[in-house]
Amino acid sequence: MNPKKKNNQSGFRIPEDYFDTLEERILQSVSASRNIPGQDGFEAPSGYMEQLDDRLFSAIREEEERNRGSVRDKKVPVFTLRRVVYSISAVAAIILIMLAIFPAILSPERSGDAYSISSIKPEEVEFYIENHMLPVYPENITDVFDTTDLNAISFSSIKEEELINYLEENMINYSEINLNQ
Amino acid sequence: MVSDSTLVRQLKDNDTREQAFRALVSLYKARLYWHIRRTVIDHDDTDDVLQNTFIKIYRNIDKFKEESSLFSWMYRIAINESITFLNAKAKRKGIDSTELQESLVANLKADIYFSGDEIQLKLQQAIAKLPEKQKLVFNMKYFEGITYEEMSGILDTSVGALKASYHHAVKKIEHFLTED
Repeated sequence: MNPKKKNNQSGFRIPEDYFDTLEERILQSVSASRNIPGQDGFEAPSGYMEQLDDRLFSAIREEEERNRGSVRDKKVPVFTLRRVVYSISAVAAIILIMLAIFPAILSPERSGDAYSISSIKPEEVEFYIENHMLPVYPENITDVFDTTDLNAISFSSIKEEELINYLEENMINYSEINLNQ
Repeated sequence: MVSDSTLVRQLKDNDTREQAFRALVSLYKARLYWHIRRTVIDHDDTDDVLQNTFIKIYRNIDKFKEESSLFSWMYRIAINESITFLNAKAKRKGIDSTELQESLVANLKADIYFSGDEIQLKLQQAIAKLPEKQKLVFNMKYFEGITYEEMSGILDTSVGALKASYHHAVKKIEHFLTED
């Protein structure tokens, strides 16, 4: 029997190459399920899915309220030494992060055509940080650079090797999962 | 059913955002829940990660450039949130991610939201031992029925590499389940 002809007669249609890949898919499924159970045994509490929507919206509203509140609280900016230190450290950290994400910047011979600091979109860096792929914690930064030494630090004097070692130890590597698409 | 592009347009419009987001949650909550659950194991942790995932989707929808499907983009956020959560939990406990997952699986016997039998428990033990990528590919393919093509879009990995990962994962799990 020609399955394609039969389909045409009945008016039903099938995806292109459906029969070409069917055998492989069935064999793969049968092979995998021979020794592996088909169910995982996990359960969700009764009514969980039904209540999720409302709980989720409550959480979003609470967060929006908190954000509005924190914006109101920021009406009078107070510049403390610690905040200034954090700000400087954050800028330094972002530069380090950008260098880590786009290592071509570190290698002048490779940085000519395809890569340059101006080609990095701010939202790309922001997205990496927002998704905790490159966590930036002020307390970690001040652990490394305490306030007394801060004025003496020349970031251009940090050696490339030291920089890479630091980032390798502290960076979460999700390079295979590209979130920004 | 509303198409992805319509839904995205409605999500980016302040006037229709909330209604569209309700539709989005309704459409995808179960699929994302089960994916996260298989990664973080515990229901309460899953609930936290799922809420964070949807809040992140809500907050970042304006940044979604529609270069991939909406589902792929959401899935990537769910994967990232799950892995970040597990890493943070492992760090708090002072152990590595594999040790954490093995301990989570060890607690499954006492979990009221796990009704699996001995073989299903052993399956979870086997999955916990897999490398991160193989674990992800195995769960997505075996339990969630995601095609290699969809997975390729989500994980930004070639179909060939995904097939190889899945094959290795299945072999390791079968070996673990049939030894002794």
